[in-house]
Amino acid sequence: MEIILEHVTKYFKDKSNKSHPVKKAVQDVSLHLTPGVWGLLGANGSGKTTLMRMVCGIMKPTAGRICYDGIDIEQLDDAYRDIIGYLPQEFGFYPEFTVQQYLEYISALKGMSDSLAKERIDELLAKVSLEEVRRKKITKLSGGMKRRVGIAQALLNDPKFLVLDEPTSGLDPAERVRFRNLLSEFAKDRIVLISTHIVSDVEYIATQNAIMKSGEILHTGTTQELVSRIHGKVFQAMIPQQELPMWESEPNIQIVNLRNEEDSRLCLRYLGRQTDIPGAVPQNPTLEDLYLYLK
Amino acid sequence: MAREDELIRQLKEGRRECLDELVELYYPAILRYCMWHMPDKESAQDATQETFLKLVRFIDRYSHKGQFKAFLYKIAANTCIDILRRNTSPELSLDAFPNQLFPSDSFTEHGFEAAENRQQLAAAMSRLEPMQREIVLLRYGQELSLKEISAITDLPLRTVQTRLRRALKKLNTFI
Amino acid sequence: MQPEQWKDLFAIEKNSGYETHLKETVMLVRREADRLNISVRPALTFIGLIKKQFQFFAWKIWLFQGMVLAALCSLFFTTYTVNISQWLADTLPKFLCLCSAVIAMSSIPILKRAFRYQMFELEQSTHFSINGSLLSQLLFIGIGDVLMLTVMTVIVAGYGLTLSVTIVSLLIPFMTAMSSCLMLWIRTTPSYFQTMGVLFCLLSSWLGYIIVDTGVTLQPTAQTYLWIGWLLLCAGILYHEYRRIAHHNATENKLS
Repeated sequence: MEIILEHVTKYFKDKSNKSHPVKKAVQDVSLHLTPGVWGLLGANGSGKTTLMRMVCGIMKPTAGRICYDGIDIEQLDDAYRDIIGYLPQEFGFYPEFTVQQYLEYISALKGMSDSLAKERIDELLAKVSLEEVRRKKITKLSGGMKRRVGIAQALLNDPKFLVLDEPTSGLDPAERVRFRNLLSEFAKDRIVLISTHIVSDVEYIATQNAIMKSGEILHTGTTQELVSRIHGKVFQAMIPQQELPMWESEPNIQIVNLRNEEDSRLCLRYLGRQTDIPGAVPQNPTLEDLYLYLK
Repeated sequence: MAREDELIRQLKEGRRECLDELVELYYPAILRYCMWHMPDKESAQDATQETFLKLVRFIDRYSHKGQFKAFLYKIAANTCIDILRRNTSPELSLDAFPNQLFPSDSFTEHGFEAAENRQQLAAAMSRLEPMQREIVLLRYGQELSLKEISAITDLPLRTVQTRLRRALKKLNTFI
Repeated sequence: MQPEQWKDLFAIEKNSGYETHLKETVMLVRREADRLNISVRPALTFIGLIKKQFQFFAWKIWLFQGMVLAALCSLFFTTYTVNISQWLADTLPKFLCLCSAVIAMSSIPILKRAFRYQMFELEQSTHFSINGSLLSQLLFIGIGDVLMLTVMTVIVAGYGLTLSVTIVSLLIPFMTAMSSCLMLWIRTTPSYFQTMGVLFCLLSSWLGYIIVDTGVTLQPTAQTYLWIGWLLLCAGILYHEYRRIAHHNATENKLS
């Protein structure tokens, strides 16, 4: 099973911008997705959501094509949508729906028979720990619970390809851990594509990552391969608090993290050279460092 | 109801043997199509086989809505392109117009004349634009209707008619 | 060269020696089918979906439309009684034009609902996609609209209007408004749809006034052909836009 994006490009008309009436949201993206968890990292506005929408078949590329097992997804039409589960970045609920009704509604739109829908809903509500609130109106649930309902609907049709756009936004740390565990279990023999600007969401569960900026894919690879690009460039140094503005304006270094320490000192994690700040100690680079470096 | 519609209907009811008949029904046409697009008979046969294997992955879900032929030909077209790319073969073209398509005729006057005509045709076809060539092949090589060609190429019917007319005009000057 | 000559030129011998490979292909395809366990899939048909949508949405849509109809009827009965003045009798067709536009307008909040509650994108990614969500809602809206128009026709039956005037007063603004709304739904973003939709519905009502003012009969006059032609045009637009939506050619501008 594989999903191949070949030179996928998307332009939008931007009538409000007379000097640049065409906005390039996604530019010449080629990816080869195979079973496992794929992290799509990028800041807001980098084109992740547009790319996700095209991959789900709800937006057509301006150029390029997306193939599932060798067949263009446009050709497959509803047959392709049958194998995907999608959780958009912004999704809502009709206010009158309970959890049960909402999942029944979505399973009908997914073309599932009543018996299959009932079986899957029971199974998924148990998996996402929402059995006790199945008859409660969704609007009355907490943010984390609503997100779990969203994930449950994406899994209803047992998709081979799960697409999650910023799935953990609004979740507290405990919810995020629960979500990661759920995904790791699900990702065996399936393709899971998660777009996020929160690196820790995918750093430990993604088998492959792609970093996106201004509509383009800058780098792809395993976490190990990607962080090796900044090996020897990440350091940590202790500085007096009052020196912070000076180092912030230093063009040769890029601060990726700050931490308050005792005696009015700051622990600075930065990208640059060891000699840039006196007393700097080399650090093992992380994906977050790379992401901030490329940002 | 066309035969393939009936076969697919029966297939959805669980009669898997209908797949055999579906493959047998379309194999010659798809092989012929692949032979127009691949450099030799072996790779054409590979492309044909891969086309049907891809088809079967989606046959139970695909609601073909009377567009089965178009669906199948599109898979065949993409499969040919993919195989050519994979083998880093030269760009999809008919420059190596398959002589394998034309079994050697006996040494009769008719045979020589037929072989000569086909060589001329091969040379003339290679001078057409790719889409014009494709339309001519689908029309006369695959004997598809203009409506079917329109569905396969995703071009409006009028455009197909115009391009076919232009292509034939050009071919008449080349031959 | 003639077409037959082209065909001859492309003709290929039937016995190309592919039988062995064909048998091999059939065997491989069968094996793949067995591996994938291709069989009957208990899928929900579109009719099955409509039945399910009925339980989710139809009664809510019709309840809303019923409330609109009740409001129109109460306005009607407070304004028009059996013994009405000539002035009121003259305004009755125009009142019907306004009612008809309001009936069309009642579909706007329903059509906007999926955007208001951020359900549209998710619905699009499902098997039935826009067919399942929007088009099934349009079906229920259409049924409700037809009932509302029929009720209005029956209500005004005893008020001295000819059938032709009643039909034109109700149908012209309604069909114009509905075809405009559907065209707007496709071409505008959700935020503009509501405002422009209401505007076009009111304009449709005004169009109805003009036609009614010129006098309406069922006699074969130029005017009769004109308004019949206009109704057919609106019906054609409705059909065309419906098909456009059904073929997923109309929804990108809805995604922010």
